[in-house]
Amino acid sequence: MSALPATEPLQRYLRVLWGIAPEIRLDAEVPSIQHGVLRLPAGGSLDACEAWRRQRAAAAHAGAHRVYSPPGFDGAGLGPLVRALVGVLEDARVEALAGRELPGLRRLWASLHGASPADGESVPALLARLARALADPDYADPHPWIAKGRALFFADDAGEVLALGDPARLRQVASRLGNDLGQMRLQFNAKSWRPAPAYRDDNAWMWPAELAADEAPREPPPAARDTPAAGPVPPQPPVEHLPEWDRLIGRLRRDWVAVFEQEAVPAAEPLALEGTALRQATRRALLAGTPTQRRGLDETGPSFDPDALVRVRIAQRLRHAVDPRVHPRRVRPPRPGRVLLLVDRSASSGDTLPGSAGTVLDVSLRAAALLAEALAAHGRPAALLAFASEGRAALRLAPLQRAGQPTDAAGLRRRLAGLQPGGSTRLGAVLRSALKRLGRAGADEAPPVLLLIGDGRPHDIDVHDPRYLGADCRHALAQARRQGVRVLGLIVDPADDGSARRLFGAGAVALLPRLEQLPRTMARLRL
Amino acid sequence: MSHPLQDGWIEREPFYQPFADEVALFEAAYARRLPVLLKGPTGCGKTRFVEYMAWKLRRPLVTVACHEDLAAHDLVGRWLLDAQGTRWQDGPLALAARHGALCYLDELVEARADTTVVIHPLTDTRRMLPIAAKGETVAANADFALVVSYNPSPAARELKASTRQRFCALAFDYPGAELEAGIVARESGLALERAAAIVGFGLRTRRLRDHGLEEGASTRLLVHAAQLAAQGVAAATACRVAIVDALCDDADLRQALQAALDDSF
Repeated sequence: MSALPATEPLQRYLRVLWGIAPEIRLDAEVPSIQHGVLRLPAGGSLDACEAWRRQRAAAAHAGAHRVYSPPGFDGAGLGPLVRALVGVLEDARVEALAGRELPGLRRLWASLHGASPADGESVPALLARLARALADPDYADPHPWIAKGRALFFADDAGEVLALGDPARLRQVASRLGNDLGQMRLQFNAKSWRPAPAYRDDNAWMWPAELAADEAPREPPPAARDTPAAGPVPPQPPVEHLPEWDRLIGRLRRDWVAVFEQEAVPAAEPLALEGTALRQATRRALLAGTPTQRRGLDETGPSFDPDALVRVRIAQRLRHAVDPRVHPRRVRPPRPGRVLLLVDRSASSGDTLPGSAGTVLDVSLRAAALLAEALAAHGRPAALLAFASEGRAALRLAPLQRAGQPTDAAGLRRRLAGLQPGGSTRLGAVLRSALKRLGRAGADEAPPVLLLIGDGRPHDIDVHDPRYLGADCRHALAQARRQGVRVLGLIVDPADDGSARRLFGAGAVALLPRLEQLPRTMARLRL
Repeated sequence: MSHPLQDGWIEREPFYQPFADEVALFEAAYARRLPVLLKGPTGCGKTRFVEYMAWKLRRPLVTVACHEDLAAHDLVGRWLLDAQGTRWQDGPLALAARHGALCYLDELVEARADTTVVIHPLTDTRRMLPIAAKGETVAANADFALVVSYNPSPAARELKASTRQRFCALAFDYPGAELEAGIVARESGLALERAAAIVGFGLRTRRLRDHGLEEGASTRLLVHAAQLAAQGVAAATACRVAIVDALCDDADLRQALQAALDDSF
């Protein structure tokens, strides 16, 4: 089960049960339904299975209200005790209706009732015992008040037919039962009472008039409501945790790097691109990687190869064995592999590149834009991801162009222009996250390609062992090889000392000293 | 000599439960030899319907399950080599056209683009099949008719307009709950009440269509579950094996489906 408080399975669960999809939040101490939002307790210290069972019971109970309950009840003239009783009876009514449709729900809910005569005869105990007597046909309670409640609730002894069809009748029965409790001189504190068992919501939604009166003064003034939208974006939870290779212990540390994904902020002006000559040359250079077709013969096919037929005839005359491969081979070149461009926007990418006016990041971004454009022109749209890290606590990925989404060249160039250098280069984690995104090649597809654009030097603020991140990166590269993904490096490095070549392998790396050399460099990399 | 399509004759009436006037409409289309496109989700009874119509119209049926490597010559035919020299062998489409069968191309969009083009001359007033490799043009037999199926979904490939606009289309969907329970009971031999409970769960899974699942449980999957139940497997287990586990691998989705399954029985 997922470690994150995921509401997705609960939402899908309610959709399967009743086709409803209320918003669910796991942030409450007791379940409640507020303005259609279902607020449930998070699992807390419970083990994952038990937490799921309880959340499921609470979600199904609230869902049953949504399906079978009226939107609200008229509480005029009802005391707190009668209201509590109306709530208990309505809870039991919707559960009985849901249980007819989904018998397993009745078992699930009954298993969470724990009230018994041992709890005593206080009002909360009697209400919990009544709730159990109405929910669990196997539970027998000796108390005459509970027997009376059960007799009023069901029209038959077996507890199959409901006697309470409409809210007016519910009020009547609740009043009678409340009257009986009053006769017993029992005290009831409405403030501390809440419906039992714990999976049931607080039933505050049943009395909309009171709810509106309670909430009115708390409504923030319009100006105050507007401020959060203008302020900083609330922190998002990490999208995933990735392992990392620790060379000293020689194993993967699980869930070591937290990955955050944030949308790139587009700049007002799109990134200026070079003249058409460079763009066309880049397009042509990418064609250098297209695999050539192999020739050959097959045993089946639509047409004959005349030479092969002649060879067959000769072999037959000579009474030699005949080679049955007489059809020209149908060659379907594999579809070109998917491409993911990774742009390093760490602080070191702010360095100036000698012999050019721009920084490493400038050249990297322009190269990325040219490649994305050229690939799209070849019908091979690439995904683009910018990255920078702040220790293992935050690897920040900014998707500039998502896979499978329509290419928006102008928007992409604005997003690229909005990138600023900052942070470090946790390369191994970046590669692992990218490998997850790329997946494996399809049956008739060439291997996917990861192209790293940047200085290709792993570095991070929380790592002091100079060999640690390099070793982790090599481990990630080995995973890429196993997954059948080609990892290439387009190295933009003012002080290249061959470290990227040593890390990625000489054939997988090409140095880009100036943007104008992009076509020649890409022809060598064979994307 | 035996009929070349001897294996294509359907002797016994296949079980098919009509849900509307599709049988009469197909008969009308066949009377005028109009090509028919059956569209609908997977496992809703398209193939069974074609079998039933072939039986009802007393025509042999040639079925081709299309796949992405299926090329035009796989339908039309090919040259083979034997001891005497070379010999032409008709493909399923050429056979059906020559001998007046119903030719059913299942999931036509899956096939390669040249396949859809080869059926074009057969689906207009020309009613002929040019066999370029042999230099022959086959005039379709008067009884020949073409039926294709396709499963429209966001993930599926689109049928080209030039192909699509040659067909009358019959839209299929899963039958109503009552009808579907009857079909599942009939196909599996399970009591109607137990079949209805399985169908009830199947209907719920269809609510996840486009919310995690590409398709909910098809009638075919429900029949599988009911058949397992008829073999003595507990209904909830049968539904897990034949429906939940067959539908998805995603852990979150399975968790939700399994919980709903626990509640359903």
